[in-house]
Formats: sequence, structure tokens, C-alpha cells
Amino acid sequence: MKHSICSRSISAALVLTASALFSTEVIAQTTATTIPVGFITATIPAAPSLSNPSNSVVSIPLYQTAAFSSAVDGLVSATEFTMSGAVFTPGAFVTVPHFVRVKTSATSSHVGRFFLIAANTNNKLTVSLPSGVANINTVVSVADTCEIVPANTLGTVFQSVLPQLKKTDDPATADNVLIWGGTTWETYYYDPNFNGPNQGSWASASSLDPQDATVIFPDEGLFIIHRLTSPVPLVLMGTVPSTAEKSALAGGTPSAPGFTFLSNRFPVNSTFGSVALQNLPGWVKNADPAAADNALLWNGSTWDTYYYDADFNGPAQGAWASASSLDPQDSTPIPATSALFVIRKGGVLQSLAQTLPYTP
Amino acid sequence: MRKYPLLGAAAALSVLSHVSFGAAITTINVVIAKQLFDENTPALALPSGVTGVSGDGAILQLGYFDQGTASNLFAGQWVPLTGGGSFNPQFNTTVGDGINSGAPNRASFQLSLDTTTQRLPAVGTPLGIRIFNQTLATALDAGNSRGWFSQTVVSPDWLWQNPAEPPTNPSISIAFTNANARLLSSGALLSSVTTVATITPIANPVVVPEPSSLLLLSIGALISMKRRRS
Repeated sequence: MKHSICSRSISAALVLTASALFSTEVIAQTTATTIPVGFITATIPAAPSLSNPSNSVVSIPLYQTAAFSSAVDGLVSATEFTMSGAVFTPGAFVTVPHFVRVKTSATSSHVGRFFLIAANTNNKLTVSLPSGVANINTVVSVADTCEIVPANTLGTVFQSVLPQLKKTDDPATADNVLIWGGTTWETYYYDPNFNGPNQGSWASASSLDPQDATVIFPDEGLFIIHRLTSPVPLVLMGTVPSTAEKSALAGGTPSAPGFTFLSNRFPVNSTFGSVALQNLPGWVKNADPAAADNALLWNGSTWDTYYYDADFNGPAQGAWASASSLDPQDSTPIPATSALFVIRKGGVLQSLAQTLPYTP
Repeated sequence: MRKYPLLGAAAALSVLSHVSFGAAITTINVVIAKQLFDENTPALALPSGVTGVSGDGAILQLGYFDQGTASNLFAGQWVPLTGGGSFNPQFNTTVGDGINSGAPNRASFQLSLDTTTQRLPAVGTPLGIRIFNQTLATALDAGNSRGWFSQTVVSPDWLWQNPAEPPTNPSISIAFTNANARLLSSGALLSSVTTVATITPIANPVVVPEPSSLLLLSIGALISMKRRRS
């Protein structure tokens, strides 16, 4: 059953305003459709004490307001295409990182795909192809409707709560934002004097370069380490997803699993049943969580392990299971703004398709 | 007495799971934003090698003192885990490594040490960075008359954590901005200086790897250079 976004918005603390806000700063000609704009609050819990930080998980299920939307009118090369009516400012979508998203297509597998823009001329986009995609023509077609949206970055997402974060020049003592890098966590923190006295910037624990523009991809979650004893209400603003969403999930083998920190793509609670990871080709189903593919959910202090047992309720009557419970877990909630750590011991890199759980 | 907080992500993620996921690793993040120079040559910036190329600058070792504790940082013998002359020369860490726009004679990189890494320290041992004034190339130059000097920086905040499987793998951040980092040469707090000089003579220079090991060094495959995803 699909839910109305209005009824679900109460539990998800999502506030919507039906308005259309479109940037015109870099765009000479803009066409776009009206979609709901609103906000959702993810509360970063207070640290139990100054020497015992809080640990939490955050997803950003909203997009920034689209800067441009139109149909693809030409595929130029393996990474380039043009859009009808485009009169862009060259380089504008790189100076400030932007994605291009497929909103409508005659090919359903295209809808929800997104690509980081690597370059743009006045009418042509060059995109960074994700792993597993060799040519843009396999995921975008002429006449597909795409929109260009500013990417969420460390600088934009946390701007409103900087006063409430612990900011130092040492990642070991500052609040940390961890982004999964595929094999390990990348650690970021805010250095209040990075560019000189009182000229702060987000920084990396393994780079000398400023990180304000570090992109938070729509399908990746964040792990937050907060060292101050007051909670931080992180207000996330933007447009509500209005199409199916696609997320990249790494494949692997039993000896070399693939790891993905998957965001909750929608601003409402989901469940293991609704995310339906088990339907991915190659998903390893097993009665033993150590042999099965896993989805880990952070409970505030540790990871809870879930897996799909194909015979949980009897032969060929599968269900999601917990490594620490005898009960079926299909209906276990995955909170809005939470995220799943997905561990795959089979298959290859694949795109997880999720349909809208509400009517926008 | 100061209570030393657990180390960044290690504190958050050091919860063990009963389910096995993959190779256990400890991630080490290193940022040396201070300028590194050789005070004896004199005040010469340490070589960074070619911009964008890793492993060709002055030798830089991640390591620890084998009797070291948080209250006695420099006790015992220095055990180099990475860099030229270390027990794991496949981690060829040098000055200038990393994608660092406009920042020569510094370094930044990320290492993933797994349980096959030789001579891992005991849990809680303070880690440090030893910086040499020689590159592997000058170390191999028989005609090189330049003296051997080094500097070592250790902090009680950089405590070793045993490897664990993702996503609970610990992550340790070593930044020269750390307020408790101290210099071996003087015992002074690192935060009291804006540059780091190699000023301590080395009686027994770093052991230069054999040529076969140098082939391994050229791979440099285990050092991440901050390309998260495109």
C-alpha cells in the first residue's frame, strides 16, 4: 500500500510546502515542474560526556532545488550529452558541484539514475560515470527528462549547525563526519582556522585540501561522532524525491565482501521488506547470518545484523531475520534519515531500484 | 591528569560483531600540514618528489617505541611500520605524498594495515611519525655525503587499536596539529612550533631495502589517495 506523503510526514517530522523555487543565477533558460519542498530533522544525539562521544547515523533524503530541467536531445560521447533549451554558464555545475538526475524515461531502469557533473559548456554536460557503467547511452536516452540539482556537500548540509559542533584543528578531538570510502571510513571534521584565523573549512583526516565541496552522494549515509553534551537538530531542507530512486550496491565474494553504506532514500521510515534487498540478483540468502549477505542497522551503540533467510517460514517461504532474534524482521523499521551498512558476499555492483513509498 | 579520549572513529566503531565480514583492518589517517625541513643543510625544505607522485620524497615512517606508553612516549626502541627501512616497505610513505594542492614538503595519506602487517604494536601503544632528511634515492647513492638526520613526533592521543572487520574497523587520525604531540629531539610540544626540522643525527641510518623490495615499493598500491568515488 502506498502512503500519502502528508500522512507519513507527521511521523517523519517532514514539513512540506508546495512551492517551486528555482535558481536563475547561472541559467538563462529554465523549465521545471513543481515538486514538494520541505524539511526533515535528523537529531544528532548529545554525547554522554565530554570524553564519551555519541555515535549516530544520518541520511539526507532530500535534494536541493533543481536548477534546470529539460529533455535530453543528444548523446555526444560515452560521457557527454546535451539538453534541450540549455544555455548554461560554462563550468558553473563544477564550481558548485551538481548532479544530473533522470526523472522520466521510456526505459524504467533509467529513472532515478544520477551522475555527478564533471564539466559543462553552455549546452553540454560531461558526467562522471559510476562504476559498472561504461557508456552513458546505457543509462540515458534521447528524450529522457533530466534535472540538474546542486549536490549536497559537507559545506551545505552542516552549515546551519556549525555553531553546535565541536570544531578543532585535530580530527581526534573535533566532531567527525565519516563517509564510507568503499573499504574504510573517510574522516572529516571542521577546522575553524583552516584558511587562517576564524576562516574555517571542512577538512579531511588524510588530506591537506579543504573539503567544503566534498559531495555527499544521494545514496550514501553518514556516520556522525559528536563530542559535545548537547544534541544537534540537523535540519535538512530540499525537495522530496518524486521518482523511483536508484542506489549503487557493491558486489563481492565470501572472502572479499562488498561494502556499501546505503542511505535511506526517502524522508519516511522504510522497512527491510520495503527496501527488498533480497530481490537484487545475486543476493546471498542463507539461514546462517555469517554465510548470508547482511544489512546492518545502527541501534545507537552497535550494529544490529539482519539477513534474508529464504526458508524462514518454511520451504521457499522467506523472510528477513535478525542475528539476535527468532522473530521475522520484514516489518522492522529503518528510520527516516537512518542508513544501512550492506555487506554482499556475492554478485557484482548493481543498481538497487526503490519505488516511491508515497504519492508526492 | 588529562584523560585521553578514544581515537576518533575507533571510539565509535570499536564494537565487535559476532558475524565475520571480511579482512580486519586499522585505518591510519595522516595529515602533516606543518612544513618539514632539514635544519642541518641548512633549513632546506625536505624533498617532496614529483608533484602527484607518491613514494619519491624524503623517507617518512609510521611507527612506535616498543616500550612506549601514554605517559612515557619515547621508551624503548623505535619500530618502523611503514616507509623505507621499515618492516613493511610495501607501505612506501614519504614526504610529499597525497593529493595536496599547493602544499610541498608536507604529507597526507591514508593507510589500511591488516593483520598480516609485520610488527603491529600492542593495543594502546602510542604511534608516531619519524621523518628523515633522505629519500630512498639519496640513501642508495654511494656518493651521498649528506648526513643522516631525523625527527620523531609521538602523541599520547595516537593510540594503536587492533584491526577489526568493516564497518567496525578502527580509524586513527594522526595530525601534527594535535595539542599533545611531542618532539623526540627536545620533548617539546609539537604545537609550539610551526615547522618540523630533522635535526637529530642518526648513528645507524635507516636500513635501505634490497633491490627486490624496491620493486614492491614502486607499486605503492596500499596507500589510498583520497579518491572516494567519482
